[in-house]
Amino acid sequence: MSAVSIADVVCAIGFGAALLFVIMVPIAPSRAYMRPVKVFMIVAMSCSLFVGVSNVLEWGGVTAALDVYEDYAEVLFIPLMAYLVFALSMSQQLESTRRMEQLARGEQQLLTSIVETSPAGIMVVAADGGVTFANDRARDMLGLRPEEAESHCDVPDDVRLGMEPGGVTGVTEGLLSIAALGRVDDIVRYVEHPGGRTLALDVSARPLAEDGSLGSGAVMALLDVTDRLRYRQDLERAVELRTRELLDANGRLGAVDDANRDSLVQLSHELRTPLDSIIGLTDILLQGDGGPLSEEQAHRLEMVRSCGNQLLAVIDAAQRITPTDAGREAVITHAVDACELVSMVAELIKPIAADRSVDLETEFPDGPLMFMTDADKLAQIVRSLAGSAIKFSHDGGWVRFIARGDADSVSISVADSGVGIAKQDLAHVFDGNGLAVCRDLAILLGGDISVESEEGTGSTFTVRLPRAIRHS
Amino acid sequence: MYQESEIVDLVMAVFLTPILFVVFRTVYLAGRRWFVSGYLAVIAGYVFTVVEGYFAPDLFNTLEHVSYAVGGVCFAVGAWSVLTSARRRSAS
Repeated sequence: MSAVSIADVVCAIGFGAALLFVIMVPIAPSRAYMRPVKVFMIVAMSCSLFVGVSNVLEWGGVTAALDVYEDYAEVLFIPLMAYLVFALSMSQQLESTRRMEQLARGEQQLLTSIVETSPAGIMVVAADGGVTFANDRARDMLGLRPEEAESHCDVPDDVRLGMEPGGVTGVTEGLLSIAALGRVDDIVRYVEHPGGRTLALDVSARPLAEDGSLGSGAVMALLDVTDRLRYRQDLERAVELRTRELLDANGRLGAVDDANRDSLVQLSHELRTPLDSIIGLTDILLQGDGGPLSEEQAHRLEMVRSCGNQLLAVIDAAQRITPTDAGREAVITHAVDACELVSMVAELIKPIAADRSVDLETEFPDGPLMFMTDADKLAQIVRSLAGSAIKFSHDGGWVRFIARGDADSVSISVADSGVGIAKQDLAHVFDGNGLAVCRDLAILLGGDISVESEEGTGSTFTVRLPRAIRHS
Repeated sequence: MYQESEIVDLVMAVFLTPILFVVFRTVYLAGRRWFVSGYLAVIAGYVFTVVEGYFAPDLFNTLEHVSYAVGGVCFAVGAWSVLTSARRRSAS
């Protein structure tokens, strides 16, 4: 058996098997378009099988009758293969198209469901202002009517659309003006229907053209915000009303508070002045300036002084709890004559100075030195400074009160002939003692306090206050 | 010498094969390379058929028949691939 005959046998068996396999390929009804492919494949394999069988029969010496038909079979092979490939390509393109169509139909159905169930009105506005699509909500909002047998909507002439209630333009012009804005979000437009129905619409728009031009129209989403705007306006009105009521109430409370505070401060002031005199005169009597006292009298006077001091502490505490602002003491300004105030303080501490044989001297300008300040606090400062001056003065020394004034301020100095303050201690002289209170009070009155001293010679403390306190 | 039908076969192969390959690249077919191999083997048989008329007739005659045999085997394998693929698709 020659190689050629073996090859022919293999050829016949191969194409025969191929034909059998192709015939056995199942084709589902949904892929019926694959049947031409199968037919072309069967015919092509049959042709080749025919050639192979013919050769086997010829070389096997059976018959050469089929040889004359071999050429017809061979010449059909390439066209059949071409048909097969093109049919295969077409069928696969068909399948791909069918799949895309199904996908597009599914997406269209999804989109339609979203548009139809959306609480927003959704519409497509053409470049000429015509409405080419609108869902039910949009039709209701703008009073659009679907045209017969067309997807376009009829835009009514009697509906107005504008930027304010009682819009001044028709719907078409209004929609065009929105579309001309390009990509916009949440702009408010008002629609007025003939029956008096007015809607506030929140409008967002997107141009359909990729370059953002109006050439292909625009998609618009409309949201009815009529109720929302009305509620907001109502809420704003309610808030404004309540704010006004609260401010009024606050003002009334402030007035009551001011009245209470003024009353308390006035009462404290009225009590303090005679109380200072009572305590001062009691001290004088106890020092024996009014003549010798019996033990019983001295004891009773001590009780008077003690009760007076207790009452003074109560008054001070009452003053401290009448703040005008958080953390600040009340400052009650009156017209004060600095010379008179200093004279009163000097008179008050005269017994103490006399006890130390310290002379009290005053140095005042001619006439009163008037300015606006809190007399009680200033008197407290001067009393404290004078007390310190006497305390640190030598027996037989002096304490001098000096009052001066210029256009803007008044200064009161308390100088002494005491031990003085070392230079290195001057920077800390106001830290943590009665002088710190004096400084705080001076600052509270809008001024300040300073000290000059020479060790062994004496010190001068000066309180400088403005002519009028400027409240911050 | 050659026969007219053999020249026609060859001319069709020369003109249609490039187009067939361009289109065939875009389609999906299980066992595609076996079909391509079988097709090329058959075309080679056509070439050997013409050549045997001019040069080494015995050798090229043998080659022609061997080419058809190879083509037959390749198409059989390709068709088997298509059959099994189609059955798998049907089963799923």
